[in-house]
Amino acid sequence: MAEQKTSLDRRRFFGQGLWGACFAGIGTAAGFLLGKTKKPETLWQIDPSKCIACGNCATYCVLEHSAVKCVQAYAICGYCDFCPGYLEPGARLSTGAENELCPTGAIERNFIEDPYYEYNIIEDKCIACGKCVKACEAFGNGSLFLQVRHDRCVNCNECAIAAACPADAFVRVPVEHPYLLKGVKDHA
Amino acid sequence: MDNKTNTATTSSSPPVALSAARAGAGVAAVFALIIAGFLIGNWIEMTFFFPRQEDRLLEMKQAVAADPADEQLTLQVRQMDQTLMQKRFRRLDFSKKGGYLLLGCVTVLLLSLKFAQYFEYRHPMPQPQPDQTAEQVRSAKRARFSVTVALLAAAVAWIVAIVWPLVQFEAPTLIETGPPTIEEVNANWATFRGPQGQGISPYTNIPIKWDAENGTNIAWETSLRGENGGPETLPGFNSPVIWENHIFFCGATRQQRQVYCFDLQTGQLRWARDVPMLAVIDEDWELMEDTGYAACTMATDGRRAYTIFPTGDIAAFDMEGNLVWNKNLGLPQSAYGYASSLAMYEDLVIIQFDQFEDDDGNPQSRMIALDGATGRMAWETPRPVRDSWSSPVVVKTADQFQLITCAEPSVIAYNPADGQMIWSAAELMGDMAPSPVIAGNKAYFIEVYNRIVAVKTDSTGKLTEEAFETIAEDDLPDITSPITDGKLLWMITTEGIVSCWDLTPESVSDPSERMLYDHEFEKESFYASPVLAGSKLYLLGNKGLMHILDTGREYKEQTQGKIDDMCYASPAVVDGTIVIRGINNLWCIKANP
Ligand code: SF4
Ligand code: SF4
Ligand code: SF4
Repeated sequence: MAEQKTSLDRRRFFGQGLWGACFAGIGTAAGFLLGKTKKPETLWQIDPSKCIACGNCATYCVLEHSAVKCVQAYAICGYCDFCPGYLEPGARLSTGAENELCPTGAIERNFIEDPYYEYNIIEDKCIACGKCVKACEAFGNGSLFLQVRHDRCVNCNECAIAAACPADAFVRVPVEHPYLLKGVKDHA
Repeated sequence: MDNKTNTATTSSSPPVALSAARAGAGVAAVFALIIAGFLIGNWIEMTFFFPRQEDRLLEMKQAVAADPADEQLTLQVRQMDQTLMQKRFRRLDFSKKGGYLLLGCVTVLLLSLKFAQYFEYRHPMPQPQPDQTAEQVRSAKRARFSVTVALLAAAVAWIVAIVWPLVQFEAPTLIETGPPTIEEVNANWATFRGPQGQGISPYTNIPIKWDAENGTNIAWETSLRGENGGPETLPGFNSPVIWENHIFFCGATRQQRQVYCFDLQTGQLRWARDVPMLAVIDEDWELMEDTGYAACTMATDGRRAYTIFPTGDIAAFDMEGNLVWNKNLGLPQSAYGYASSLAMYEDLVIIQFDQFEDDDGNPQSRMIALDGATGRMAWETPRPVRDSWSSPVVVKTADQFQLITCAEPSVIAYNPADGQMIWSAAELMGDMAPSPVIAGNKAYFIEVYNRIVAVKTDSTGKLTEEAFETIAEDDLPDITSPITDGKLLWMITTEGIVSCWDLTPESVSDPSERMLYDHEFEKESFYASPVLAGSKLYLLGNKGLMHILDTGREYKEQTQGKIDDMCYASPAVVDGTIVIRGINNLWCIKANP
């Protein structure tokens, strides 16, 4: 009995090896997730002065719901009545879907005082398509821009969007300054 | 089946645990399969079908934009937008939750299988040996099959490895083609006064005679007043710029601003576009009539055409007339109305945004460079100067490009790439309108009604009054810019006095020693700046008469060209062709058209 137990035939060796690999995989995944709680030294971020809002951020992120989101720099925003980031070019000044530029309705327009409106990004809805960013850059003050949100980003070793970014806009930033904000001299 | 009997008879494991493990594995496997199936379906839907529905929605949105009165379509757009939005988030939510569920099912499946295997394990029992020969034949067959498959896989991998580098994959497009080369810029008339803003054409095949009355050398004329099939354009004193087959200029009234693109070969209007007004102007904002609402000459880099108006509205159109970007730089505070033309350096659009001081006496002027492709600010440098009407020039000096500007009280040279000052010299007085020119290592500036001065372009830092070398004190223009071939310098005053000055002596005791001649064209005014082409100097009077002078040291009017129009804009000159924007018509002059 004892002799049979210790002699491992080839089939059993591979079989058990496979099982071992499966559990090791699960263990590694768990370890990886746990490891995420440990602070990395650098993070991926988008340099807004380089980003051309090409739309890749919406499609290349390893997360299906991209970790990149649009951000509003309120200090730069003109609080325009006709916001080119919010409305289609030449659209009527109405909040009907036919006039809105954002494909997911991720921008919220709030009346402040005549003729000023505040525009907020609803992050859960933003898919980082960059349409509003491009329009605001071209026809407005450029207050809308894209940033990697670190509460969502899994900080891949090799960021899939960085590899696809045609403008080399992805940079590694120190964890103490995780965002590259527009119009703010000292990064948050 | 053997296993089952053996296990049942020899194993001590409880059969209930084994069945439970097997049942668990089965259920987990079925769930995992179903979830995986849904996830794949979800992925296919989002990757292949959803984008098509989004495109359809975009088309419908465009149709609504074209016909906003179509309420039914508007309603459909709203419904579809809502449906797509809900679908997108439902599916995103599903794929997130489905992913976790699948992971859970797979974990349960693996654990159940492991338990089942543990419970059904039986110790090996000696069995009767099967027929060894048959087994050997089977394993030989398997080996041959495996080797063939491996060889085939290796062959495919080898072919892919060879072919892969030869396949041309579509490269990710950056913004678009880069800036034009110097050769391209020199072959066109891309900014006010052409290459480097100096009024000098590199072509020597420019016509020296034309007459609109009998059509001599008039390739075409197109009405700008809506007559004879020509378009009705808005007024403007800005000059045409040319890139290959495109002629650009702009026009404006207080209410409207437009950009025009004409075809150089046919004179037909290619497109006309409104420039959106972002500026907020109040009722008492007004400009001097002589400046008008479209005094600034456009600029082009062959990728886009750029235009700026006295409201501070600046816009870029692509060569097909699509608005690429537009911005407002703030309403410039200018005594007669903003009039500086745009300059270009590589892909930067350069703006001399001079204004008078604010109420506290602080300068508000600045040099601005915008990225041509995006309109994004590339650099901005405050300028300690007052409002001016002169246009900046980007010129190649001995070892670098310099952006040279003229205003009261300082002439300043910058690095056009980053806006850093290279040198500056003060104090000049007056309303600066003529633009700088360069000859050798000196830049020449007109201090209106006083003198023309030279400053060495190889200087650095802030220069004192001594840096100014007075070249001439008479016959000074107040609107038109001077012109030089490097040895001689010509000026034409608004009242029609042309004068020629010798730049060759290193120094003179009295500036008047440099004067070679002056000559008065009677009963004519001159608002257009002169052009040099080959050995000819072209001076366009406001009645449409072009005086064509020899560029020798003595006055000699060789020929004339006549068009029947009022002319305030400077001519644009490209290969064998002169384009003149008159008040009534756009003219194209070619030798033997
Ligand atoms: S337009 Fe695109 S980038 Fe802008 S808020 Fe909407 S989804 Fe985000
Ligand atoms: S690092 Fe990974 S998760 Fe973060 S933005 Fe890049 S691809 Fe997305
Ligand atoms: S891929 Fe690069 S250029 Fe494109 S939107 Fe993202 S950061 Fe901007």
